[in-house]
Amino acid sequence: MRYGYYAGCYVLARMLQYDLSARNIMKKLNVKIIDMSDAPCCGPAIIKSVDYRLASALSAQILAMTEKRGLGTIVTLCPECFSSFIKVNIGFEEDTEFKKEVNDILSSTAGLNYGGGVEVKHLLQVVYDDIGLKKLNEDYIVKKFRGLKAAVHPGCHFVRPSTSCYPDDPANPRMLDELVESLGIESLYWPLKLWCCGAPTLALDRDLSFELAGKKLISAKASGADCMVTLCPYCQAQFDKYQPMIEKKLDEKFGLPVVLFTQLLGLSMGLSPEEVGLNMNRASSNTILNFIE
Amino acid sequence: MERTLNLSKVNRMFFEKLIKSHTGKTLPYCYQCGTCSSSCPVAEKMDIKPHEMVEMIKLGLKEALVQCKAIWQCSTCYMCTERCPQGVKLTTVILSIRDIALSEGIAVPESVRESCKNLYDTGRLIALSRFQIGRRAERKLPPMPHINTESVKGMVDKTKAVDLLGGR
Repeated sequence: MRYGYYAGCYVLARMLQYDLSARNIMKKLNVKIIDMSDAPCCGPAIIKSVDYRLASALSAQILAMTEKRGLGTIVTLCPECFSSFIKVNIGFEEDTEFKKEVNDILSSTAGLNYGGGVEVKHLLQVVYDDIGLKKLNEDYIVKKFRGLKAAVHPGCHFVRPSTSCYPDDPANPRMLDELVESLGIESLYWPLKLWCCGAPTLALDRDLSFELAGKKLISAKASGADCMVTLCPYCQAQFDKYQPMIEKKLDEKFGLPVVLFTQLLGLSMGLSPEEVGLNMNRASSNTILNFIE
Repeated sequence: MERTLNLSKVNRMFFEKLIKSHTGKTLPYCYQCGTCSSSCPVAEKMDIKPHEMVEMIKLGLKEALVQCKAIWQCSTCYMCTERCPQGVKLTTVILSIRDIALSEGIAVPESVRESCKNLYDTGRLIALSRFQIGRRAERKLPPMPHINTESVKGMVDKTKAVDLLGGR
């Protein structure tokens, strides 16, 4: 298995534990990666708000660079990058005028042309589909969790808007749940599971953003969760890094550990807490170590 | 927001611009079921609810839409798009309305301007501080490679984003 690895700006700069845990589990899983960190920004929603063609040209440039390096697949950690790439692939397929417009910008600025054929994957798909939970458990898992109850948060952009390119069920996503369950963790039913974490409005309306995240933290806690599990760096920051600020705003105490799926997986594969960057999480994630057999 | 719609200010071009794109072409099929608004985590805060936005687009009521708070409150969670029985891609349409609002100088949130500046200067949305560079090294993570920003600068210059940077 050989993939282009695009961690994304946010992970590279502010969510180092995701970059670190992802690289370390891929090494263990013998997944060969070609680092695409020299590629620019993917053109997320905030850039799409300014100019959709600019955002699409940015994504197309990364996909064209992937193609040029002889790689058929790009793997992302950030669902915002993931969905930006997919939107370019779908737009190119549906609308030839859009494809031409974006490629005109791309060729005149970067000297590149994108045909539309690079496969886009989130790291969870690599683990779930390409390796598979059965093989994962047989060959790589050395420790399991016991008695840990998790509120799994698949986030928005990994499951919606569903198209043939999206891997999971948009109304009842199961991939992340099945992965944590295979590590011995109980995935709880919790009412606000599919709701947005509020991160995209953080820079535009902080009160609104924290209100959305707060509702989810209340819901997770009320469902009896010992921790939350995320796959998106923005969701992770929202629930973990900003948890103390949300607690203050709502005058509530959560003290809820929030971990990335790569951190749980890494621990189960025998990596140390340092190797998955557990100490870089804010909200006392070390308590989850007590649940390892 | 005034609840009586003023139909003397209809902007036909606005509607046509939005439905011409591949993401807006399903707008005419909205039949006002309200699924978008009942699915939206932010609707209760919005001055114009998602289903009202669609009807107002169809009526060509551009002024009210580009000036409303709701377009900037959208959390881009895609729940409305996912659940719409008529295939309206409202989330992306809202991004297009933001685009129109920005290009007419109606509202430029500071964070949008800052993101464009970071993109222009560094090629990345989030510029890396010296502190963060140091932390990557501490954690034995590979350093952030240099991005050839020329292509990104070219793209920004070719699109409206350049106007947000104070006309470079």
